[in-house]
Amino acid sequence: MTSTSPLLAQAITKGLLTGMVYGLMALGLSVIFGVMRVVNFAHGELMVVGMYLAWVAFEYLQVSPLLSLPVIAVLFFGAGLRPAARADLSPSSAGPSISSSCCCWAIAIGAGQCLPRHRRPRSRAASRWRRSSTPTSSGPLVFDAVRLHAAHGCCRDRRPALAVLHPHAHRQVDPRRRRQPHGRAGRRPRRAAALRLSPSASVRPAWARPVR
Amino acid sequence: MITIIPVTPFLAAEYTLLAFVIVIVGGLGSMTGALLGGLLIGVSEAVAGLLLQPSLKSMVSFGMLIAGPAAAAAGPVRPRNSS
Repeated sequence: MTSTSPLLAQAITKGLLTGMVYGLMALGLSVIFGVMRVVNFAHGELMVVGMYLAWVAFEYLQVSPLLSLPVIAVLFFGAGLRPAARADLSPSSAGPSISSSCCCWAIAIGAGQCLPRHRRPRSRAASRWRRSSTPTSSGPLVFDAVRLHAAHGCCRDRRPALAVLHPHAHRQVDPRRRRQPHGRAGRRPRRAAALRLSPSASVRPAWARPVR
Repeated sequence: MITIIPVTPFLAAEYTLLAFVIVIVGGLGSMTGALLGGLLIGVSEAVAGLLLQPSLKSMVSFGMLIAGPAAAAAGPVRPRNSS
């Protein structure tokens, strides 16, 4: 057992650090579920698209992944704003909806098929960047620098950033207020305007309303 | 994440499932629960990869997916649902 205990300690350390990365990953899914009431089946696919974008930025533009990260985040936000406002991915108080999840699944399949797999699927890694960030060691334990960064980001208080990004992230969402992401009447989707005719109907999306 | 794992297009479904497992283990809609569930799954995967087999680590996390809500439903303490 004495021979395995440093290995075990190393495994637990690596598990803690990897677990913080996993926690950040699941935090995204949890925030999407908490705010939009949508089970996002496309989470991993969108993550992989983001990873490919970071790889492209690193490989062809020589941009560090830490620098391209906020740019990619803003890019994804802008790309998702218009479809989320138009499609049935809008928040509803009727609980997790099946059709939004199916929509996410369709996005997942589409994104998965659009990724470059026409050639032999090679695994891409920003290995040169990784080599430049040296691991930290303390005694017999070795800490990966990237995972340490992620753990630092994970342990910091995220509430101010989340409050800036989304002021209703901790509260129950009022669907009538969340329905106007642009704030201007002219750019509002037409279906949202039609839904606002009756206050009870505006709570549910069009597909969930009872047929009269 | 590109900096810690090599990326292939086939990675996506695996990570979607993993995020689901973490979110459900940590409690749906709870943000602290998601972070703690991530820690739990990460440590259990690493320890299972060392003590059992590296290919059995997914089995451990999926077993937690089944056992966690089952134990929470059976026990006297129900998980706090913050949503």
